[in-house]
Amino acid sequence: MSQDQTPDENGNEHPVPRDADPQARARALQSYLIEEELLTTDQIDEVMSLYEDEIGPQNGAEVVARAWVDAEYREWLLEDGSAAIAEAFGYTGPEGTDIVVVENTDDVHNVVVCTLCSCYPWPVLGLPPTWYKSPPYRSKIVKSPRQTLREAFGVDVDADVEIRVRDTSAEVRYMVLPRRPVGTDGMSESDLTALVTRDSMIGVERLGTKHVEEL
Amino acid sequence: MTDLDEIIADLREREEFPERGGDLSFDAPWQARAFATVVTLYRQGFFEWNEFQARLIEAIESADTADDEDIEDVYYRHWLEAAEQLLYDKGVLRGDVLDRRIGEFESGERDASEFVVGVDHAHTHTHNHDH
Repeated sequence: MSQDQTPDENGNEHPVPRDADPQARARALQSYLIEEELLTTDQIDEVMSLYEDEIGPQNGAEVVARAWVDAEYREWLLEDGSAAIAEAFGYTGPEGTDIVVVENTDDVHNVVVCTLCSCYPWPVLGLPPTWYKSPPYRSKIVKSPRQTLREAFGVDVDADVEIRVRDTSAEVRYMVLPRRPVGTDGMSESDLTALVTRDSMIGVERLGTKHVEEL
Repeated sequence: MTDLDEIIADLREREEFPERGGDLSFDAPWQARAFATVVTLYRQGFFEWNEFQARLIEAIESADTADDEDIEDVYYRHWLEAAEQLLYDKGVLRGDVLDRRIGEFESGERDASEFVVGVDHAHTHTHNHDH
């Protein structure tokens, strides 16, 4: 790397080099923090295993199934998503403040996007899939949601159903509460949990129009 | 111009299912390393999450990325930029110590084996690993 970029002495407005090999950058940052004893490898490993094993869409599925069987919980969830998720299930962490849960109904279908970057409710859905982060999704779902849902996701939303595009921002993380699939009366909460998909909680899949046999 | 819906649909097809659990979408060990380092810094109280978020948005907005660049590469490159900027702003990083170290890794003067027991540990968490 060339040394002709003179870094700012006071550390402000440091010109972060943009052309460096990202692998070298990632290694440099981590090794520096560890050598300076600012972080430990154990702490970093703990984060990896947390996101590998414990944080993912299975968490959101539990929340949705609870809302399907427990009307009081559903009301709480729609009123104060973060609290209902943190207090009932203990799911918190970065990207977990101000989770707003929006409910799909017979007349309204919600779909979530982050047009600025890729904000996403990690504690309930884990990390976002690649397509969620892609510029085409981020622009297209806002401009023509019905067409995008149909052509990119194979989801037909009837013309009389309103589509609400929820643009997640730095302040709010949206999660969709999908409708309960047809033919699931009497099913247990844990069996219902298994029916809930990540895509249905982003709003690019619809469960309420499907029979349990199709899932 | 490529049809956007096709791009989205392609990305979905390339995704590895099942979608439950273990679906971290890292394409390379350095992406996992960048992710875990930033989240650990946050957990250890070096910054508020929204401070990182603000730098991430800046990094994305000021980027001039090639259309054919891999989405995960771009995403985690922005993470690194945002994290470095934030740590300079906070005074955790100063001067050119990080720049020099990046150069040393680029030139091979340093390699991954020197600083972590369980070299490149992150690779066991990527999709390339057989589950």
